[in-house]
Amino acid sequence: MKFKAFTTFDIVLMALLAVANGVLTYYLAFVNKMLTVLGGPIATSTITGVYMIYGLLAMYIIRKPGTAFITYMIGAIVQILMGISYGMPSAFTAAICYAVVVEGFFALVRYKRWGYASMIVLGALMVPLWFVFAAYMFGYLQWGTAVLATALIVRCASGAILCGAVTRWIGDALARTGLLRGYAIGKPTREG
Amino acid sequence: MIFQFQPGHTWYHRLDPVSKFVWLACVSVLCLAFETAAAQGVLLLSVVLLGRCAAGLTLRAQWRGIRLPFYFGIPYFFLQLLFLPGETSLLAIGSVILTVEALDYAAAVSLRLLTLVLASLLFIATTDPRDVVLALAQQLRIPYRFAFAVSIALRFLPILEAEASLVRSAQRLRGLPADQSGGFRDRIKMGFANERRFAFSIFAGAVRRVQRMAEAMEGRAFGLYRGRTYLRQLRISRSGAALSFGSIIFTSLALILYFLSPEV
Repeated sequence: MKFKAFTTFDIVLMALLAVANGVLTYYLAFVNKMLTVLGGPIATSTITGVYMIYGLLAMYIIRKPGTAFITYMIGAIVQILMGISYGMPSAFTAAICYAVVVEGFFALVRYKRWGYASMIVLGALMVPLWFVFAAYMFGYLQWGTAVLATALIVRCASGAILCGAVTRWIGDALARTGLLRGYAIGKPTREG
Repeated sequence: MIFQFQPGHTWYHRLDPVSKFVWLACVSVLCLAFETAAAQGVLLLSVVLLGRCAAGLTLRAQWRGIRLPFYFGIPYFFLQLLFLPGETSLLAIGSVILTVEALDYAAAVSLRLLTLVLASLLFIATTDPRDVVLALAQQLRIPYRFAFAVSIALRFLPILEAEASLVRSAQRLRGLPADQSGGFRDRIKMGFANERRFAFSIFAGAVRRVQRMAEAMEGRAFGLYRGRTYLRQLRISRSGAALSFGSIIFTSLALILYFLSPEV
C-alpha cells in the first residue's frame, strides 16, 4: 500500500487539532482536578478518553502513517507552551504512548479498518501503556491492586467510548459537511 | 494561557531552548526517581532558587504559576494520607490511623507534581515560542514543515477564541439558550444540544480556515524545497553547553547517591 507524503493541508489540520486539544485540556484541567479530589484515581479516569481524541481524529481523517505521532507530538509541545500540562515529562510520555498504540494498530490492520468496532477497540487499547507511566508519576501505585484494576477498567471504558466511538462520530459528522473532501476520509473506502 | 513567555535579559533567558530542555529533562528524571518527601523538597527548593536567581522570576510569580496545582493538590494529599497503607503509626483519630509512610509518600507525590509544573513553567517563562520552533528545525533537525506546525498551532489560539466569541454572539442573537421552562432533564438535554452546536460550528469554521491558510501557504511556496534558510540562526552557547553537561553529570551523581542511601 503506497501513501502520499503529507501535504500542507494535512499539516495545518494536525496543528488545528493539536491546538483544539490544548483549549479543551485547559477547561478539562479543572474538571480533572475536581474529580481527583472527589474520587482519586478512579473518578479522574472517567474522562481519560477525551484527552486522546485529537491524534486519533487526525488519523481517522488523514489516514497516513505517522499522522497520529506527529499530531500527538505537536499537541504535547502546544500544551507545554500553553503551560497547561502536568509538566513536560507527562505531556511527552502520554503523547508517545498514545502514538505508539495508534500507529501500531493501523499498521497491523494495513490502514483499512475504520469502523466503529475497530475504533472502540483501539480507544480501549490506547489506555494501558500510558496508565503504567501515569500510575507511577501520579502516585497511584500505592493505592493497591483493586483500586488500580478498577481505575484501569474505567479508563479503558472511557477510552473506548469517549475516544474511539466519539472520534468516529465527530469524523463522520465533519465528513458529512463536505469540508473534508480533500482528505482520505472524504473518499470512499471498504468500510465507508 | 496560564503562564506565558515573559521577555527578559537574564542568564536563563539568553540560553537556547535545547540546553534548557536538557536541564528540564534532568529535573524530571530526578523528580520521578525520588520517592521520599525530603528529596522532593530539596529538588523543589532548588528549582525555586534557580527560578529566582537565574531567571529573575519573583517568588510571587512562581507562586502564581503553581498555586492551582497546589490548591487542588491539598485534598488529594489528605485523600492519600487517609487511605494509603503504612506500618508506623503517626496519629489515630477514631478508627482511622495515619501512618508515617502514607504521610511521606503523599507529601512526595504532591511535591513531585509541583516541581514538574514549576520546572516546566520556568522553561515557558524564559523561552520565546519562536525559538522553540527554530530549535526544532535547526538543532533537532526536524523537517521545517512539521516544526512550523507548532507555530501555526499557536497562531490558531486567538483565532479559535475569536471564532468562539463570534459563534456565541450569533447564537444569542438568535435566541439561544432557548426555552428554560422545562424540567431538569429537558434543560440538560437542551444544554447538551446547544453546546454540541456551538462546538461543531467552531470546528467547522476552523476547518474552513485550515483550507484557506494551507492554500495561502502553498501559494507562497511553503514546503517547496526540502531545506530552507533562516534569518536568525540559533546557537548553543558555552553556558548552554555547560548547563546541559552539568545537569547530566549532577543527575547521574544524585541518582547514584540516592539509590545507594535509600533512607534519604
